[in-house]
Amino acid sequence: MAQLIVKNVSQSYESEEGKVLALKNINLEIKEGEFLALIGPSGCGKSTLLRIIAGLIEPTEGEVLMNGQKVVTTIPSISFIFQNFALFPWLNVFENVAFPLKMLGVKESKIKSQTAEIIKEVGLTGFEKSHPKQLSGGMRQRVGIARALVGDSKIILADEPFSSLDAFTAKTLRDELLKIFKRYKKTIVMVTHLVDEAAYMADRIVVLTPRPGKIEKIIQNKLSRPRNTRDSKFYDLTDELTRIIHP
Amino acid sequence: MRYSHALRKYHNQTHNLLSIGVFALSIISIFSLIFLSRSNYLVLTYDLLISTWRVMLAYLITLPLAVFAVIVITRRKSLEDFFVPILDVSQSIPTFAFLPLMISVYGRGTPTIVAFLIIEMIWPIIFTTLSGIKTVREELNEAAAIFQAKGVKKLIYFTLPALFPSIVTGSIVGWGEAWETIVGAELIVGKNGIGAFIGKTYDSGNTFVFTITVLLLLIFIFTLNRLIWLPLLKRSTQFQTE
Repeated sequence: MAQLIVKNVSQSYESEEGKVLALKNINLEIKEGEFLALIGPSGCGKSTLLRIIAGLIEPTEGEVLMNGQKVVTTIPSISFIFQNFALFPWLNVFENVAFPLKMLGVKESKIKSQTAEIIKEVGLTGFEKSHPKQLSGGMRQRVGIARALVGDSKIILADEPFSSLDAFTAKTLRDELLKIFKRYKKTIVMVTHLVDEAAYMADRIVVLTPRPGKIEKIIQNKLSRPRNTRDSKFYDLTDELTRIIHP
Repeated sequence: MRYSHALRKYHNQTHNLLSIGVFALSIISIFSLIFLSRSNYLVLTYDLLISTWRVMLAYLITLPLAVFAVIVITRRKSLEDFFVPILDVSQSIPTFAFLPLMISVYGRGTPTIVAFLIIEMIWPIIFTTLSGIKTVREELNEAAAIFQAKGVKKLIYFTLPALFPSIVTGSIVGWGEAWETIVGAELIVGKNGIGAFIGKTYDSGNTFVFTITVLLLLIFIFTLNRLIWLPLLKRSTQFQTE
């Protein structure tokens, strides 16, 4: 059974030129423990779709169901990794990671142990007292990943989580997110504009059309893990994705 | 790293000590001069303290009022569209026009002056906080919503820290305007306070004491800024979103 269902979702907004349709009739089922990538040309509404799934935006039409329950607002079982990290500058690393637990009213002793464990998991031990401004981009996104992991979330939504990082850091963090995905058995929905990234990480790849965003094709990624980006089958997949995506 | 930190700390401490030293020396010398000119320096100290107390009281009432108003107004777009133009027009109404009305309601005492100061102080705090709430990055608001920040916890751990830089800026402007206003208000209301003291010394024709009092007031305000507001302003940069 699907853990998350996106049902007939359309999204439009008013602009000076009149009504603009950003997403049109999106239907999607996301299974538990799946890594799904949303890919499409710039402005196709993939980040909007992710925010609708998160409960941050109410769709103009349609609905999102999480285990049969309609998602009408943000819920603790869905967390988010942001493109530009979205760390709170007034909190240090520990406090940023502990933020979701604090908001949910978890006991102080449990907050301490859980936060310390996740900080260790993402390799930030020793930086607990540092503030975001004192960290590199890669370290900031590690904090962002840790914050998304720390609570009791079942689904992690990631909006182009590596696009603000240099190529080397992005590669390292991709592998670390995959490790976390495997270890914590979370469902991940990631928006990306890079075909290589989608092919390297996802189990299924949803290709959206240019505005208004519709589902062009859903591709099952059958390449075995760990994936070799030099493999001819990997090239076949990225070629196929590039062909489907209309800029 | 450690040495540069120590050096910075040393510089800060030296600078602060120097400020306090200059302030203390100035006070002592001015008080001595006043004493020599047989003016009652106790009255001056009392009046200065009364004025400081009034500014502080007005600020302590204004700050939560202004921040709360902004948070409520910006919760809904419709409320914001309705209230912001009203506030914008209201701030340009000359405050001194209300003074006779306030005197008739509250009498010639502290309540009148404090109410008057609130009207003067509230605008810069409201408008800088309003602009501060607009400049909080959308992703941060989304992160607060995703990670279930709600109610009082959201206020303490998200909204107030996010607004801290703009609250400090608004407070600095508000305090500046309050000192300017209190002198005028106390001159008119005229029982006590630094404004009343300045009025009395001017009326008595004692130009020397009048000049010294104005200088003392300037040094006092400068020192408060140096010791309270500037460190807060520096600290607020840590809270700024990029």
